[in-house]
Amino acid sequence: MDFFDMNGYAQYIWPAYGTAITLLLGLVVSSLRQNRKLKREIKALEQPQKTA
Amino acid sequence: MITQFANPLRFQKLSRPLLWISNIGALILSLWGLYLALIGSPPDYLQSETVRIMYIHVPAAWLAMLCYSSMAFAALVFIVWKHTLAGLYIRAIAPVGATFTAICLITGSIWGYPTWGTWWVWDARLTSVLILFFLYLGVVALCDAFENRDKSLTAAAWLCLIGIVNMPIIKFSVDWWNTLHQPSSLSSFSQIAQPAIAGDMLTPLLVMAGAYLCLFATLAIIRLNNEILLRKLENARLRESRA
Repeated sequence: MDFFDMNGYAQYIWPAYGTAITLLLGLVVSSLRQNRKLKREIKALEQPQKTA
Repeated sequence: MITQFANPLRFQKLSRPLLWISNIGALILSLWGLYLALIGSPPDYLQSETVRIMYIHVPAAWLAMLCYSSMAFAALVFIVWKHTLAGLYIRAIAPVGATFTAICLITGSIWGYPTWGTWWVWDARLTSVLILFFLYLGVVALCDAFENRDKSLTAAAWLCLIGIVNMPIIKFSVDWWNTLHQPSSLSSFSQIAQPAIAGDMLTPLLVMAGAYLCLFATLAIIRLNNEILLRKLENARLRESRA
């Protein structure tokens, strides 16, 4: 349990790591989501032209 | 090589293998870095366990400055040669730089409280990094400021170029002024051979910096591709509305 306690500095170390990981992962996820959304929209736009 | 990359279609093709490399690098280095930073390194004799915050704070500061420098270079290319991809790079990377700067500021603040006894001081280093954060937000805002996309990107590019004066201020603030923020332990490449920090603390720092760098590459490739796709979508919609 010493690891999670960080010799009494847990209240500083875990929020710091949590912030960094959350912000970076959030940016990766939102970028990937945007990528998927754009690809879907382009596909939708190109589809009717082909059938017409 | 650079001019080949500068073509959006070629970029999309060439970026795919690069994305794999940066993905794998980011995954391995971040896991290795987290292990070294949290478990595999000793506490500092002065800072105790809080030194572990340094391993995510310092590389974030490096990346914040790297993002800005690359963005300012792209801004120059965009203004001088009107290169589309350079303009899109500004729009793609500004939020990434803002994120790294935010991580730098927040983790620094969390470290500062137990170490300095305060969350924030208006010293030259902290203030200049806060200005960097606002510069990023300004660039993000300007990228969508006008109806005309190129006009927005040009405005953003000019702000990038003007803001470059902040870079040397950040770098040398700890030398020019007597700041609460300590001077750099790794101020130049020659110092890497004889750094002012111990090896078992230098390794996690450099591994984490590598992880951030790979993550930056991954984000840059995905987001630049997104910008190209967005352009394509907008042009297609424009054609449709005219037809």
